[in-house]
Amino acid sequence: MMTDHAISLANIVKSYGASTIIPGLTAELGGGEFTVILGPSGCGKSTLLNMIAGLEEVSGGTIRIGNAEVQDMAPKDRGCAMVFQNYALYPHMSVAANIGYSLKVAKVPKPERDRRVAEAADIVDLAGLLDRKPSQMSGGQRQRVAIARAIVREPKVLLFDEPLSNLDAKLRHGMRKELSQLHDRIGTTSVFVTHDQVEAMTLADKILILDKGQIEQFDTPNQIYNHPASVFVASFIGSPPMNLIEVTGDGQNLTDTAGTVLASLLHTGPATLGVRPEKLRFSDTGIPFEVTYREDLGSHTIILGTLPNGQEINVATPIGDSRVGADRLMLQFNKEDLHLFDSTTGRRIEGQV
Amino acid sequence: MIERSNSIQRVAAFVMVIGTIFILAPLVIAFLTASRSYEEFVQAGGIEFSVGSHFVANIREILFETELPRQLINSFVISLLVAFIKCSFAFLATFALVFYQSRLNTLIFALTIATVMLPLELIVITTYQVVANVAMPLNWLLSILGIANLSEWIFGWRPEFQLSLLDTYIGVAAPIATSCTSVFIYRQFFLSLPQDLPKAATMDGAGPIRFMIDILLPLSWTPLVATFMFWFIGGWTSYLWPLVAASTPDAQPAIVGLAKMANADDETIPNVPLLMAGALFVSFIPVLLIAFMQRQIVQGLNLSEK
Amino acid sequence: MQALLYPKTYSFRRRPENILAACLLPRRESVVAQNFYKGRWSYTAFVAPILLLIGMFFYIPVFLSFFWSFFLERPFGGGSEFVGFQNYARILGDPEFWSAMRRTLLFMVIAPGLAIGVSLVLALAVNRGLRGSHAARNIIIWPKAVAGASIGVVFVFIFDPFLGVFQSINAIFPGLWNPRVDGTDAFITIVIAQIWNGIPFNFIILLSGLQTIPDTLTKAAAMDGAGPWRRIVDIELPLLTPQLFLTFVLEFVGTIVEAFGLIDTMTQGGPGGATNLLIYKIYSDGFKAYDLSGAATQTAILTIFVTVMVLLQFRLEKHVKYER
Repeated sequence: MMTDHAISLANIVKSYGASTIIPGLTAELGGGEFTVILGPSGCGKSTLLNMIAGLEEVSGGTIRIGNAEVQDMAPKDRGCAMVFQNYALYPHMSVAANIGYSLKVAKVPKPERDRRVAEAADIVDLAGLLDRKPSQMSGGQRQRVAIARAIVREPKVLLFDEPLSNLDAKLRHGMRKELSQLHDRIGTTSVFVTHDQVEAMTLADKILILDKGQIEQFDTPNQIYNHPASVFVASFIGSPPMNLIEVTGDGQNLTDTAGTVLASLLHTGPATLGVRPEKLRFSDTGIPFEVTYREDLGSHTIILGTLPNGQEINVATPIGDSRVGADRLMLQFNKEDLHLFDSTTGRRIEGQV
Repeated sequence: MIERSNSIQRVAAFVMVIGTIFILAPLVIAFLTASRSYEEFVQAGGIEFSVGSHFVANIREILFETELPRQLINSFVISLLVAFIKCSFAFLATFALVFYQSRLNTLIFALTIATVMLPLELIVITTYQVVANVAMPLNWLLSILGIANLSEWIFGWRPEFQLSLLDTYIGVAAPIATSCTSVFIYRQFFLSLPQDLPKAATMDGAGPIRFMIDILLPLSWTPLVATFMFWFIGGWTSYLWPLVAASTPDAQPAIVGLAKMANADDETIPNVPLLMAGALFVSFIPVLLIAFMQRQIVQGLNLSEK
Repeated sequence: MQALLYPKTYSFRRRPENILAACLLPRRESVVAQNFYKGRWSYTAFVAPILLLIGMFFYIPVFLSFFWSFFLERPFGGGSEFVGFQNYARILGDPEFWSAMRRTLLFMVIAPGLAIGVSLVLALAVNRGLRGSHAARNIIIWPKAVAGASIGVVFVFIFDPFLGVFQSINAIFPGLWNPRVDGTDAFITIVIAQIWNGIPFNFIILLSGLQTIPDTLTKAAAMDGAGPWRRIVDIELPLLTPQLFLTFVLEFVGTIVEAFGLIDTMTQGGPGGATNLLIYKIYSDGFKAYDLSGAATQTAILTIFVTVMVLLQFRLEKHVKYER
């Protein structure tokens, strides 16, 4: 069990020529934890992962794995292993040879190699397929070979570069479970890059949300969901995304652009009000809401409608809410479900309730 | 082919038959003629469409009384050299061009592709001059840098080196190997491989050279074999350059020997049967190669990883 | 037709025109995803062999032929003197040169045109997939192994007025066919031999081009009511333009020089210079008449000509191929 290899990123900078992708990033990824780096395309998450692995050079800053400073080390000396998005299995080698290749390069004697390969294959449930070639396997099986190849080296850190993106939805669900169980079993420090928030929310011990090379929030999934640190985080996590309404406060009430009072929070000046669709409730009194579009998903219904000021927001109600069929409804904004963000910076404003 | 439309099928069949006949005709005629003796040939007044019994005798004459057997060996060695040089040099270079980061990549690629645009035959005159003295660039360098003058002043000796590769296997083979279509073909192939292989190999602890040997080389087997055979045949049928570069019959490849044999014949009616036998003798190796390996060659040149 | 020429699943890189573009216009793809390794010494070691080879045996000779075209080289080692453009003036003023040029141009239009035309028809026929097309495909490639001088020896015999296939015709109409005497007849023999030579290579390229045309397109056309002949004209031929373009370029460049083996064994440039194409003239000027400067100058001129023609064809390529 390798649980004591924390990753310490101090002031990481990455630039290509004149453009800087990561201006300066500092974070401590806990040893034995499953950290997910989440963000939209182009935010620098893959670049960051590659820098931890050693596949790309850092332009500035230091990376520590455990106690060692590794940013100048070659990848093989860092003790990392990586699982790639398109598996990157060696097409001409058998599954066993694929898994054992790193051991062969490290000149591990054959009997021990075979033993460790068999062990790794067992962990990912591939025993009996060791003689096949990658082309004879399904996507899910290939992904497991890639994982086995990574864990056979007993690495200090396991890196995952969007490994589930090439799988279909059902397979993804199954693989998430397997990855989770794998982590429970071997406990290696893991860093997982994805743009899919569902993967992040379900797999992560902590999520590092990245946008344009900068950390938006680094916290547990629960905290990120319930206390998003910025508008970006708030709208990135959650499906359908959080509703964001421009409001102005006069010290007692918050009013939207049409003058409707939405809530009584002690805030003065402009702000952005956030409330998640599933936290809105229909009642007999409240803010008028005119329905434009309904999606009945079986387990819940998502209703798109307009507030008095014309803005469209989403409401998600659980199955069985009898008011779902109506065209004009009243919405309740509950104080404890509201989030307030600064209008200019987008950062969360605390302590208004 | 979706529906069985008769008119087009008949036309296609007809075209195929005519095409095949056109292709085979000269070879068949050559064979038939090679099976006659010289006397029969003269008597019959030329071409005859029946098989004679003199084929073996003609072949024996080729083997024992002409230079062709020795020259066949020359062809073989030269073609092997050409194919080997082309494949290995191109493989190494394309590996670097595709898998390394370097600003020189585009430039070097353009330099290699440019060689395809100007065939060797066009520059035989000056290639001859270069091969006649491969130390020429060295001499220039010494001269330009002033070292030659310096040496003359100090030692009274002006360094001028002379190394001729004419009439040698390598001298004939090297210029033929300069046409770099192989770079283009290998590049297309490398680009069709799964993308993150070098990264995976690096994470597994393998450096670029290990990657090339353990992973790239086995994967490239099909295009390598196909292009090897293709260039082997190309080297075999190369004519103008070997004609110029190899002046003694001992050093000439079989195709040049055959042409000389044909042109040297001063009789009113040349010994055509012998010449036909010679033509077949010169060509049977490449034809066999193509006939048995045509699937590999076509597949390899298809630029596809099917 | 212009809107959707390929289904979305057809790999972008494998599309023929992109292969062509990648080959001929390398500046478009200078940074590829696979670029990964760094390391100056190993990089140099890998590219050095081929660069040395082509530097030594291609670029230096090319440079030299331009260099020597400005000098008058005395044939037997008497040194050389710089004469500026005098060689060019001499060559360009020589009617022999221009007739050789004309003959070469004529040959360069007829032979590739016919070779590609015949190959196209053959490729279309073999593509039908009839019984025997595998055997046919195998055989059609054979001339590649017998190229040039060897088959020239055979062809000169076949076309011989008294010994070859035309002897019976000549018996009836004496003198009708005699490549030894009639320049046009000799020219024709070279053209036919060159077509025979050129079929395999073009055939392979065109056939593989035909086979990469997605099934879905031909099926869609059939659904639209197009019969097989129509489909050939409307779908297969237009989609084949990248390969056709490739064959034209390669065949063009190849024809200029491949004919040498044929000429040397079949007609030696005769009769009366009727088959004295530029490549043969350069050879005989250089190695038989020892007019090295003249040969070098003609080489330089021919090199410029070939380069210009090839570049022109690439400019043309943009108008010929379909945009997606």
